[in-house]
Amino acid sequence: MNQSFREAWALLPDYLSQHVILSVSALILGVAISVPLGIVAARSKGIGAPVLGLVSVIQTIPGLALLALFYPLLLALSSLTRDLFGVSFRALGFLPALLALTLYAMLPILRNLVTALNGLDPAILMAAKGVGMTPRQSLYKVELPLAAPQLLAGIRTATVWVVGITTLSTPIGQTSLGNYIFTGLQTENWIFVLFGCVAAAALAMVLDFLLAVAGAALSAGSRPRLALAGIGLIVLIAAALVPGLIHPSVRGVVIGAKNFDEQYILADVMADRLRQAGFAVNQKIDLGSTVALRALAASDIDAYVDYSGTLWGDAMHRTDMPGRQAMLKQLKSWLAQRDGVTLVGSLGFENAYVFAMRADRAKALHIRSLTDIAAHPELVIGGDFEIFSRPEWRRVAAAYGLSTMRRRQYQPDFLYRAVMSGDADLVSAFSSDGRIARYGLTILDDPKGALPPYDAVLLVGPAHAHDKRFLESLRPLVGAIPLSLMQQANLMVDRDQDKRTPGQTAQWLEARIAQDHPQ
Amino acid sequence: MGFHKKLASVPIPKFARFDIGLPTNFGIEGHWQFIDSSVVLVSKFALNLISMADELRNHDTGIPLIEIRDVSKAYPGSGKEGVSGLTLTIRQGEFLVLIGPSGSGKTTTLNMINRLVEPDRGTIRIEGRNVAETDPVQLRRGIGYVFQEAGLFPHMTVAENIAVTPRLLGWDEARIQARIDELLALVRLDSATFRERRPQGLSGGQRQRVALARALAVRPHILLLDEPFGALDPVTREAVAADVRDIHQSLGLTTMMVTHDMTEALLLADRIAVMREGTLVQTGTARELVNHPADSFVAQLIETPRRRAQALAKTLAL
Repeated sequence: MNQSFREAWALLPDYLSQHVILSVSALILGVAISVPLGIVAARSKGIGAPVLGLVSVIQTIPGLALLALFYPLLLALSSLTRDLFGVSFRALGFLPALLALTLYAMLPILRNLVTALNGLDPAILMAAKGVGMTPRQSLYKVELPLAAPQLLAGIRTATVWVVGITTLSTPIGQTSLGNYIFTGLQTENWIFVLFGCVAAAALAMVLDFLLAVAGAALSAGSRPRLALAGIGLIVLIAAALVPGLIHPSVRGVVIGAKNFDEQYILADVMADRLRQAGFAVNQKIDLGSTVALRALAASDIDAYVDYSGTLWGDAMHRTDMPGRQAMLKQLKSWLAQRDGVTLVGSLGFENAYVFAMRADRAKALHIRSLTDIAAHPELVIGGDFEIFSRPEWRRVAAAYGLSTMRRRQYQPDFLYRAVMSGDADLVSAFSSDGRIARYGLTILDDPKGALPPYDAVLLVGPAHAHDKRFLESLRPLVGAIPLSLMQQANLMVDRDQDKRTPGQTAQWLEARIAQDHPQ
Repeated sequence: MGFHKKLASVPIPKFARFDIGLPTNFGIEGHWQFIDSSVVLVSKFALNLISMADELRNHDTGIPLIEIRDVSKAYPGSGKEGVSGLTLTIRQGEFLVLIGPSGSGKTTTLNMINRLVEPDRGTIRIEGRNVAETDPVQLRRGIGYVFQEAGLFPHMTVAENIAVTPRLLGWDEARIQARIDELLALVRLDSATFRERRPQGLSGGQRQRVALARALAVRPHILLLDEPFGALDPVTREAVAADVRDIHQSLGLTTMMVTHDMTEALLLADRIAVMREGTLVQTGTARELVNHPADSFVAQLIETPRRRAQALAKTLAL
């Protein structure tokens, strides 16, 4: 408990700093776009109505989806500019997050400004014209100053929204206070989740307060108070920039990880090994499943662990099943050819899709394999967010006649709770998950072989394809992690008692590997 | 103060000081005295106005300054007051009052002079130049305009409001500051007290005085006033009106004012132009209007203050 808190506290400067930089940049950009756009929109109904409509629609797109959409969009754009001008840019992390958040910041600013400008007393506008102001002078000397309080209120709303939604930029590779929340949810570390929420809320409140002070000072015409608020904002932003200045961010090599415990642990193991080999190492964790390979191909990250079945279905779009070794071989040459990605080897364990039931329930219903499920149409299946839209499920459903089965979706960590509480009768699970053994779940057999193999494979990006020192420091991991070892490691992070962090578990795992494979 | 000096030589002189009570700072007692005396004076004034009205118009040089020729403006379907086929000449130094019921096109006529409204048809010339061919912004900077209910900018102080047009014209700051003091003195507001106040901290009369100062900031020759006293209480109204007339006189302005109050028109105007439903019904001095009203509408309009004054005189047993 205290340990988690200390760990969270130690991460705060980095997370907060990145969060502030991203939020404030998005807000500044949002204001810079919305104010001129708002002025145009207020003057012309023909522009105003569609612009406001469009921005309102954007607002209804869920934050996570909007952020995620910008990644492939920028990736396509980046490869286009590379082909056209020989210039490419990083499509992961800051840029897509910045653009999505800017869009979010725009609505309240734009709407308040347009409302304020349209609501100005016509007599005052007439007076501005009457004293000999040009339309531009009227705008700058009369209309904008009078609309300023409402504009500022819009900026305050945008600030609170943006600071909150910035937490969602974690899955597209941008560090933020959301890292606490996403990692905390994965590892069931509620201190982390709470810490992230409180930190984001506190940041939103402080920024809102400073803007409120600035607003009050503005309408009272009080220079000293305005200066005070300005100094407050500058100090806050400067403080956020300090960690970056003290530890200038050497990009070094970047290890990627998807958003679950096993990936965090393996990323830490890889990072440790690379550090020992003298590399400066950074990590990008909580990447979306399909984002990771694209990020590797684009050299946004340099190495990560993926699974053969996932790559086979999601990246190659293959549905045939040539067998484990043939699959690995074809994957290797396909990855090298298409993306310049090196498949270094499999780590020794499989993290396969399996379907699991509570042992007592399986026994009572006489269910041993997936074949037995069809006889019980009353059963409810629980899955994570992706399983039901994946080819694996389609094949299982087709092979065992389960396509009409009632389904429920859960955040992966709640799957086990769902099956234990009886909310779902069987759930999708991962074979390397330590909780299968811990909860005493029965894994259902797949006699028709509908599920592909999911060997954990080590992938290295094009930049290090021929980097001997890099490859050699990771190669000892190949074949070094049997399933039972990975299950134990995963359980150490997942369990409620004597819970370990992924970092601690990585050290434990490395020690075990060294023990089993003395060099 | 030409106006006052002039009054000294007029047969019934003293009444013209209808601002006897100081415009500000008089006690309750003084207040009532003021109202009593002003009622008496106004009554007398109205009754005897005709005999002196001609005498007052010495500033009128007879030279046409603003010529409105066959001007029309329509607002189809909007309910806003339009104007049709209006022809009217305002002479240099003249104080002309446009009067008529609401919706008769007075304000539209006024606004066409500095092109706040563009006519559909007809021409307006100032000093012989067609305003349609001038730059509207420069035109407006050169004409003083006092808006209905002042039209002061609420986010600016009194000083900033007054300085608007000088700043637009790029005057240097020392000249602007000196001019602000000068103008506040002209409209009889204490500079130290009012300079830094915002419009919402002023009374209605004070606001109109500031608006007047703003309108006069760059020494225009023409002053346009759109129902400037409409929102003021009667006491303040007369005090401010007297100052407007004084300033018109002392600065040698050509002034055009819109009102729907005939008493006000009689008190201030050298010449009155009566409008109804967008057309000009009659123009003339107060005497001409009283003696030869063009129709029953004008007669009725001009009769109202006289009737009121007579009723008052009776009540007060004068």
